[in-house]
Amino acid sequence: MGGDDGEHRLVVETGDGARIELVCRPGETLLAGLRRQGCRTVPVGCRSGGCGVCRVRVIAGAVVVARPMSATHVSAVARQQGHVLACCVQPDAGRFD
Amino acid sequence: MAVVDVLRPGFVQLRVMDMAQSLTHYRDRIGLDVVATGADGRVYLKADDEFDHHSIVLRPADTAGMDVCAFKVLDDAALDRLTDRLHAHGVVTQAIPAGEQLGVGRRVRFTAPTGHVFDLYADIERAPAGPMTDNPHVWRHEPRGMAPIRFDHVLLYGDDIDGAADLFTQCLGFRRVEEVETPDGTVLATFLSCSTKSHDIAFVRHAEKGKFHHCSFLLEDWNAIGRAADLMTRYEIPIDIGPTRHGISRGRTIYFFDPSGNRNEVFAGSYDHYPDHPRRVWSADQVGRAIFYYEGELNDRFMGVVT
Repeated sequence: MGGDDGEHRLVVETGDGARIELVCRPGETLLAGLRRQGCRTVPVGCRSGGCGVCRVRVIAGAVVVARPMSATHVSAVARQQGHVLACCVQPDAGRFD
Repeated sequence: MAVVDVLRPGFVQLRVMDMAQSLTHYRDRIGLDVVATGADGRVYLKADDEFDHHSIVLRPADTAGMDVCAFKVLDDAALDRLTDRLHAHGVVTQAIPAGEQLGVGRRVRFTAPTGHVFDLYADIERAPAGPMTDNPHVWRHEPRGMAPIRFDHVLLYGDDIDGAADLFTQCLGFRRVEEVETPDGTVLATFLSCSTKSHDIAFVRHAEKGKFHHCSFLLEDWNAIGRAADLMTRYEIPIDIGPTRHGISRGRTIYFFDPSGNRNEVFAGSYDHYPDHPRRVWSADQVGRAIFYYEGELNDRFMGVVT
């Protein structure tokens, strides 16, 4: 959901059912936002789109892919299903509601 | 071992997902020189103190990782001898014609039991501006960036590292310099040398075949490692760990990532290996100190983050 000053409020659902609320700052990747707020659920790997350890699925809302993601870890089909690498994406200012 | 037929790791070809950012990283930050760009988009680079045409090849791709690591051998007769030994060992080889890479002669390709592709070659052109040879200054032009001296080695992750170590020792003249072992004798990591370096290649046991852990660049000393760390911080290059020291090889090190997530290392100050030296062994319960000597434990990324 949108926030003030270009910030984006997100809800992260983890595999074990927990819900984590956090805020992404403008220009901040999802992974950087998670780490800045102390969330260690998503592992930090290469932070460059190559290793795939920070793969997540966008359940609602939209993201901008800010840098290339390795096709080894996010195929075209997986991308359509909402899978992205958290180190490569930012919340989409225009499409979050 | 003392150098016989295989001289050294000659080049590595890496896949990169954004060439412009990759060139900023490898040329401007690490400080390699761009030698040439091929018609197919591959970019060829070298470190300052290397005589040969190139040692790093970047190939535009939609994935990260390593295409091939190649070893330079003494001469064409050595290439034939090594090929015969591979065939006697039951290894299938493929001829890669001269010119497939700019400046490189014929190559003999094989796939190791870990799934990694390796080439052997004897002929490569000299770089247009290699190190000086007549009344040579320490460098022709002052070094840039992290001031890399040479491409030093790769570390690879794969399943059958026993088979890979057998191939490299029995066919190619490498020696087991330093290894990590479990109490039942299972080798978890093996560091192999074809020279007086502490390692020219290393393998770590991993469930999946053909993964790339890092390629390493030799720097001059601990001060150079510190300056490299300053550059990584200044330019927000993702650091994996370091500056620190390895127990294995005793090398000073920083692991960091290129813009496609391929891990790089800057490395200095490891010991020399000679053929009469005994194998050094770390027990599996000391693997943290073996890999990261000061920290004494592996970080989360060491075992799982590969391309």
